[in-house]
Amino acid sequence: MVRVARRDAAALGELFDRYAPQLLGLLAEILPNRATAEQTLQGLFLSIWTEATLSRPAPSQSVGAWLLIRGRLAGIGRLRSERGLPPPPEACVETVLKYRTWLPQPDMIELIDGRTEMLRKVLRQLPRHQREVLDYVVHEGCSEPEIAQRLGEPLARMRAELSAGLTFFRHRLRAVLGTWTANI
Amino acid sequence: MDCKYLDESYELFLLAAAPPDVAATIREHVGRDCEYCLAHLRQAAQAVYFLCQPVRPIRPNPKVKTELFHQIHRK
Repeated sequence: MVRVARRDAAALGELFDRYAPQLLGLLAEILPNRATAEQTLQGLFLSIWTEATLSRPAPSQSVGAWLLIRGRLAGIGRLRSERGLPPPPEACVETVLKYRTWLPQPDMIELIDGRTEMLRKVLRQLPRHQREVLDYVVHEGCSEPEIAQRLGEPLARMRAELSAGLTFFRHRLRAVLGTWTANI
Repeated sequence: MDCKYLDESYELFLLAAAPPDVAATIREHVGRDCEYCLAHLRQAAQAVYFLCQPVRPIRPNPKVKTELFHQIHRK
């Protein structure tokens, strides 16, 4: 990222080669077709190039997490725009784009990359309904009221399902990344 | 300030799915470097990073990179 900030186009190319397949995989899961996903990917890297002199992750902050979380926001922003829905909450988007202090360290992300299969197994342990609710959030960028409406459920019940799913996953993730083991 | 009541909201915040009032609170805390919120957001970012992992990476059409470079050279 330091080289990208110095306007080194080759460095941007290396960044693209390394992360674009993962980002496009995610965008293709969010957006209705590959052409739109590729346009969004291109726009993402263009904005990174444009902004790199002003702000970028520090060496102690994960570029991979920054790109993936930004990429998802770009994807759901595009999806919601195409569906005529309001954009994602500005407070969230602005914070992700403006600040870097929330980024985890690269070694934590490498640990996750090395334990992907185990974590996928954890996700499969979630009850189907909780997975479904989580999927609405992650891949469609739905707010809680929107999910409740789509599922025809009371908001409180849907919130409880989402909260239970996230709590389960959060605890299991700490187990997988931490020093203690759970029966996964 | 006790931010513990936000414990279940950090992932939703990074996923841009937190309720507006909660999102505004977390943004304000990040803006003033609230240590509790930043530490929890870093943990939440790990979970969100994994949740955003695609099932299958897809190699972009080479034209995407070519067009990207055309655009940056025009800038």
